[in-house]
Amino acid sequence: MLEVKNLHTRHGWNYALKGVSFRVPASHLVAVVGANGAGKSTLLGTVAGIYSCSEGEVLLEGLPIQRMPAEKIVRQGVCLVPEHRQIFDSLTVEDNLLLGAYPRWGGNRREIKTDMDYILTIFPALSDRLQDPAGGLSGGMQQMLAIGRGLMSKPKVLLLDEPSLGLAPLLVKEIFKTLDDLKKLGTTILLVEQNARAAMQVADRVYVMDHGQIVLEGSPEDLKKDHRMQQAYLGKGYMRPVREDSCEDYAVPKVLI
Amino acid sequence: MHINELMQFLLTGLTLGGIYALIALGFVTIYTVTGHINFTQGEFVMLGALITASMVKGGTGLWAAIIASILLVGLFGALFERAVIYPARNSPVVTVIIITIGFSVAVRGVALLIWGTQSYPLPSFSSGEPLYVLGATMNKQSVWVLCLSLLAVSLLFAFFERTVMGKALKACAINRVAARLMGISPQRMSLFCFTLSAMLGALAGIVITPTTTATYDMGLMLGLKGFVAAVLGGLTSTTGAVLGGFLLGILEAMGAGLISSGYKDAISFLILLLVLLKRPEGLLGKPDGKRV
Ligand SMILES: Nc1ncnc2c1ncn2[C@@H]1O[C@H](COP(=O)(O)OP(=O)(O)OP(=O)(O)O)[C@@H](O)[C@H]1O
Ligand SMILES: [Mg+2]
Repeated sequence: MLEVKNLHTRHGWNYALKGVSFRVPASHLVAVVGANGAGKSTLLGTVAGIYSCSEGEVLLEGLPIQRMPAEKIVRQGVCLVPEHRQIFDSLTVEDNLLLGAYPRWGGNRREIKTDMDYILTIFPALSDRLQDPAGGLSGGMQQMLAIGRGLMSKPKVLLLDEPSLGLAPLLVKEIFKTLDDLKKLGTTILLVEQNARAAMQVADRVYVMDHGQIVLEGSPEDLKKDHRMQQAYLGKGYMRPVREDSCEDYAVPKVLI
Repeated sequence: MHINELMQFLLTGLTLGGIYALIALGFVTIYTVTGHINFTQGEFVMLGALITASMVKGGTGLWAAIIASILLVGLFGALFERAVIYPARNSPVVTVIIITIGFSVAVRGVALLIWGTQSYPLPSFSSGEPLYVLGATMNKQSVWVLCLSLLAVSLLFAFFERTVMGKALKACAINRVAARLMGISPQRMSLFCFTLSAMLGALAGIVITPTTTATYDMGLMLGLKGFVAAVLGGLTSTTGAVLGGFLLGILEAMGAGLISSGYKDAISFLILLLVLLKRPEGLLGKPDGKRV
């Protein structure tokens, strides 16, 4: 569905991405995990067209999209739910969701209404707050709204940048449960996370990123066994022990691999 | 002093205020959505007034001339955005401000070539006796000014609240990157804002002309007054712009009436200075509040 080939992106003169390649098959959830500053947001931003790459390709169903501006890439079916949610805080929850459907405005209004009702069944908590300003929602609700807004564009691939950021463990669990549901419903998701443990519980395939490069890849099962992964990201050894089913946010140490 | 007199100043102020509000809305719309301060705004006012006056002089019906002029100035605003602002979209804000100032000087120069220095009248939109409101008189044109500006403001507010395009503009003002991720093109929004602001400016120029007549240099002062009104309202709020416009109009009329009409313009710039020094976030803005 989505294929990233040898992607290079710089901020000024610093390469934040140095040749990243991976693929996201249809109806799969692929996770890219990595420490602070590894280049995860830059990766999603480049795929979504906010940053332009200096080299490499992004193919959506074979169509190169790396030269398109962000507003056009959404129309091709790649929607980014950005870091820190970035909802329109002074607009109402309903307006935020409606704007998610902006790319297909002018089309069938009833369809958009139906889609909104559908998204409200995924995030029922939002239904009571439709007329409230989005900025007044709690962090968890804002994240749900950001994902809901992204889904309103009916993307072929949904890009998620750190949905667990700043959320309490219970909420993280809830959000990831929803991601799992979405995947089972056939949504293709590319997830970027620092919270490696939570990401590995829902991902079909995991890529580990460090300093702008993919340093490890595999299925979550394989990676859980990998000693480098255990040391650096899953906290065996020098991180405090955590219950197996917990989704607690890990402070991921930098480098190490 | 009589209450009648105060009432008279108030009415005059409201009339002026309506015009300032329209111009201020142009500033605010462009600023919130694109981050630019467009000092060509005043020239839109002048073009609207002179084009209408010339067309009426040439025999076109008043209302036809008004509508044609608003559309033409809108088109001019769009061309201005494409030809001047769009190429400079990645330049620093100050550069763009200077570009708009430079362009306004150029437009004024061309207007001088076309229309000369004489002033062009426009008939009142309707004839008849002035109205008497609580002992003060209000001529018919003032009623038109007030009604048309209130109508334009209400339409604009309805547009922002009710239409998807209006919400997309707001979204763009709140968070440009997130708006792009929703497929909203900031460039298209910018084009739209300049067109809309040009039309608002033209309307302001047209409604004021029967009272003041139109000249090639009328845009300078009116543009600056609109800017003061916008700053008074915090520069980022449409409600603020409208209130700022009316407040400025009333203060000016009061100042002119109670002190001396010679101080009319000085008053608004004094207000600008005070606001910028004491309350840069505007009268409505929260202190230290971020830009919305
Ligand atoms: N807009 C920018 N301008 C300059 N440098 C940037 C910019 N954005 C990111 N960088 C740099 O690029 C590198 C990668 O940043 P990026 O935000 O992609 O990392 P990340 O993996 O998303 O980190 P985090 O976990 O903090 O979100 C960092 O060294 C960062 O300092
Ligand atoms: Mg990031």
